[in-house]
Amino acid sequence: MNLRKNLSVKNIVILAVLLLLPVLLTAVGFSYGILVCCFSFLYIIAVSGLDVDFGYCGQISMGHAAFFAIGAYGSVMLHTYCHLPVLLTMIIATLLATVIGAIIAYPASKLVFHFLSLATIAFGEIVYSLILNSPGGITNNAVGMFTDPINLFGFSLDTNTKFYYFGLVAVALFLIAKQLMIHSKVGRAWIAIRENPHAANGMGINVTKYKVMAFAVSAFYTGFAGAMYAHLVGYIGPDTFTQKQSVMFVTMMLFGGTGSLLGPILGAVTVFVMTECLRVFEQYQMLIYGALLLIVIVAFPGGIYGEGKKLIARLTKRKGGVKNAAGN
Amino acid sequence: MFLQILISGFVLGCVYGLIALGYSLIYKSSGLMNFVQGDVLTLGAFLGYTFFSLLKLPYLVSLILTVLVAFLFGMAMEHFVIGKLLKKNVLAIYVVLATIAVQYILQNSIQGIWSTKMLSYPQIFSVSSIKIAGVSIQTESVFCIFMSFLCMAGLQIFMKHTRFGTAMRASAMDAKAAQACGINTSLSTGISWGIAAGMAALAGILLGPIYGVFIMLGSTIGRKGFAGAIMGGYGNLIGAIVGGILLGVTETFVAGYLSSTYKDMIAYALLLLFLFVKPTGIFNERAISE
Amino acid sequence: MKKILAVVLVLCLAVSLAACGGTTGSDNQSTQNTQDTQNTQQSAAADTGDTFIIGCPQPLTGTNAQPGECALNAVKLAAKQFNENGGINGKQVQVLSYDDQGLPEEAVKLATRMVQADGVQAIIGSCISSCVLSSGKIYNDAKIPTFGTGTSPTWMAEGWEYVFRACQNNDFALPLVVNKLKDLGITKAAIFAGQDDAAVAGVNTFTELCKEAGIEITTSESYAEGNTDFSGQVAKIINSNPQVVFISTFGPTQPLIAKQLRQFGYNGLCFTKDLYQVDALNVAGAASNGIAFAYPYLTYSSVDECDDPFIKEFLTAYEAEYGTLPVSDCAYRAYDSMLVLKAACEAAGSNDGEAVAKAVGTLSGVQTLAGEQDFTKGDGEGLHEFNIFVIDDEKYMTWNTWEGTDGYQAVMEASGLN
Repeated sequence: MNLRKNLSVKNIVILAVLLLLPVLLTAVGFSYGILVCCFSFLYIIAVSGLDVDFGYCGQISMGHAAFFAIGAYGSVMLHTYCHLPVLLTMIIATLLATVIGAIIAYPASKLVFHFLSLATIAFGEIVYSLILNSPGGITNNAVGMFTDPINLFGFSLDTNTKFYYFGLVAVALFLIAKQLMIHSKVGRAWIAIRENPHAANGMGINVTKYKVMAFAVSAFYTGFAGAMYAHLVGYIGPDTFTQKQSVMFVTMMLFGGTGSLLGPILGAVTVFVMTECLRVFEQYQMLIYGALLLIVIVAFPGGIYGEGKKLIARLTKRKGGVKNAAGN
Repeated sequence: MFLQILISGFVLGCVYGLIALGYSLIYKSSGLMNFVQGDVLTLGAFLGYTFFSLLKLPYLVSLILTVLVAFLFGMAMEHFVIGKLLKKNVLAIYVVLATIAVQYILQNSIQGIWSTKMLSYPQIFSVSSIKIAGVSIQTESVFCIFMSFLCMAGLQIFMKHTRFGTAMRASAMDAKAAQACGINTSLSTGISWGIAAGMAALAGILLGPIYGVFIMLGSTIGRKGFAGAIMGGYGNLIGAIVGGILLGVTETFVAGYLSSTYKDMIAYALLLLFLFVKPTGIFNERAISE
Repeated sequence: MKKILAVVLVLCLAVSLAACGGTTGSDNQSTQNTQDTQNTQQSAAADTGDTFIIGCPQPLTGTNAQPGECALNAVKLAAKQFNENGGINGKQVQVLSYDDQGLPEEAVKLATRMVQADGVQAIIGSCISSCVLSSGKIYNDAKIPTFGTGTSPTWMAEGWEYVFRACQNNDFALPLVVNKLKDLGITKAAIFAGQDDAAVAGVNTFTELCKEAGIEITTSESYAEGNTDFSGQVAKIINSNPQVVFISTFGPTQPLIAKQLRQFGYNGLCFTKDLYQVDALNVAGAASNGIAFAYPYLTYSSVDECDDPFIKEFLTAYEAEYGTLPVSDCAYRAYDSMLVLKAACEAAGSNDGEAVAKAVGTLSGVQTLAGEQDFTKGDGEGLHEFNIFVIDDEKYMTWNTWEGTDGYQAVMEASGLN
């Protein structure tokens, strides 16, 4: 977190590229790429959140689509029924997702791997059937809901380019927050729990409390991503929030590599761009997607970030790097 | 109405039970989780259709061939994917992800091979339905119940009373120690994956005549089967069938007496309740990894 | 180290995005597409190049893969036929198809992609109503004439000027059904429905119409997609003693519910919200007897069964092209949409989006598989009249020929009507 070190030439180049990307994409006539970036941003946020939960605290969740849904539906419904400004509704909905996350995490914190994944699947299914058959039809059930773009104090983010910059800032804030958390007392407690919950308990760490915290934080991230999603697309329907979406989050996280800053970013972007590129294969896209996924898992079982780091470390012959990367 | 619902819930439960048996077997013999079961069920239904309806083989032969092909599929999957991952000592979640990838491939290949059309089996038994206590059930459903109990009993005997079953249990408990005793652990894991796939395919060929054959046949049943396995006590073979039946009967009763809209939700809520209050299930199976 | 990786990542991203853009559609068209993009910002249906690009988003995988595939095949077949006869207004038709997986989210992404990157000039699809609903606004804002191939009333109710329908609107067909129920003297109806957009819309309209007609809804049951066992729902339906069961489902669920209703002992009259497909008929067999529906056309298991010359011609061409007949009527819906689109383009004298959309509203007497379509009513819909078909002895027939037969008597008796 050394500021001067971070201001190296490379970082400035990256920043400049990121800032100019929409202009570049428009210039080459590929403005659709901006939308792809917008989607990538919200997936980066969601997957980074999931990484806090799994990568650092060791709790798997196969039901994060539920929080994605709470963020999206919460924000849209507050905006539609209470006429609150969109940014405010996003924040309220995200907090709602966090609270629900904490509530569900409390009993779930006792469960280990298989049981926890099934519990989260069940939770995801329950939320899905609630939005599909809401009491009084407040979610418009299967028909879905239309909504407005994000409004920043009177400035409407009605184009993809405007959303791009909003997304960029949001990603930066969420990633900085994640790094701060990881390097704090809380983060160290999470890692201790991931490595060995019994030992962590022995050291005086309140395992349940920290597990609930990790889950709630990840719900916060995913909830916000869901709210972003709703106002980016402008329409939400229950089919977006199925088990498939949860599996997508997990895939992105594992594809990139867990327990790191860049892993989830790499994973979210690669998997999303990959699915976009595979569209040309029409009905065989899932076949190719599955095959690619399988090859990557078998060839790089630590995710592409971890394995890439290993590879680079080997190339530059720095043994310390190998050990570090293989530690996970 | 009560009896009618009870019996149909029982039939549905037995199907869940067959799938649950596979989950429990894999867990018991390797401590792993496999998401492919539901799609192997679909595969089984399509294979059965091909053997029985297209190649005109006798039903019993098609049934055995289907189970055999699925068994080889399960073995191959373990050998080429799961085994490779286990050797690399990865996090268990990567194994789960690998099974999800196989699931995508399988789903899409089935669509590619057999097309998206919904196919129908010719009738298998000459009598189309049987009356039990004034309630008529499809003959295939009765056969389905019979087969799931047969599988449960067979597996139970296999696991508890044969050398091979003992070896499988041993390799699940401690792979290194089992290897030291001369047990071929990779073979025993492979066989358990094969048996699990075989049972899912069996469920598929049994369900084909009841529900028709289409590409999404197994997707929901697969997930419900998993829930049944947990409710009965994950890793417990009798528990798998009992859990499956409990889930099936509950679901059908909820739909019949309460609300069909919230049927699935109540089923999953029941599962959550089990997980939070009694994760060891009805049969109090101790989780291996804990 | 991290920084190098990050730079590599950004480069990879940029390259792959560019690659994405380059590979969309068929190869010879890729440069064309990129050029088009600038134009599409202002006027989507820019009349450039020698081709007329028709976007076809359909569900090609998942539960609804079968209707999606049939629809896509029909669109491709129509395009081939048009091209052999000089294309549309002299432009060769190019079909750009994508898999929307039946998911509204995918539909939105695809819509944006087709509008911004591919420069499509017209849209045929999707046969999933919620997908049309979610993506319709994008096509409408881009002024691209769009023919939805779903049957739910919802998306046409949005009032989009560039969105049309050349197939059935369930809201137009259901009054016919309820009138028939009234004529039969039915007073009690039960409902079995899915939870998707079209199914729910069907139920709402049916319930509303029944209320007006004084028909009591004894129970309304639903199921979640992917479920295959409905015994609980069926038991409840039968226990409520209905004289007719209204089935609002789609695809593989149709034969399952038919079989289970008959299995549990209900032998009375059933109405489905739209066509009871031929493959459902094959799966459910005799359990399908006594199921009726209001629809413009039927599906067949062989060309010879069909006696409408125009449909027969289409089926023969389809079979010659794909080696099998379309199981789903979505093929008819998409083919008709193509016919109407062509008629509109020719009426407009240009392929420009605005002109074509205006021309659609003036069309009448367009010869399609569903009969003559008339868009002059101003609601953007081409079809307003339907037939009631029924299944007896595992065959389709019209209601009028069915009346008075033994099968009719038996079903009416089971429904308690005599």
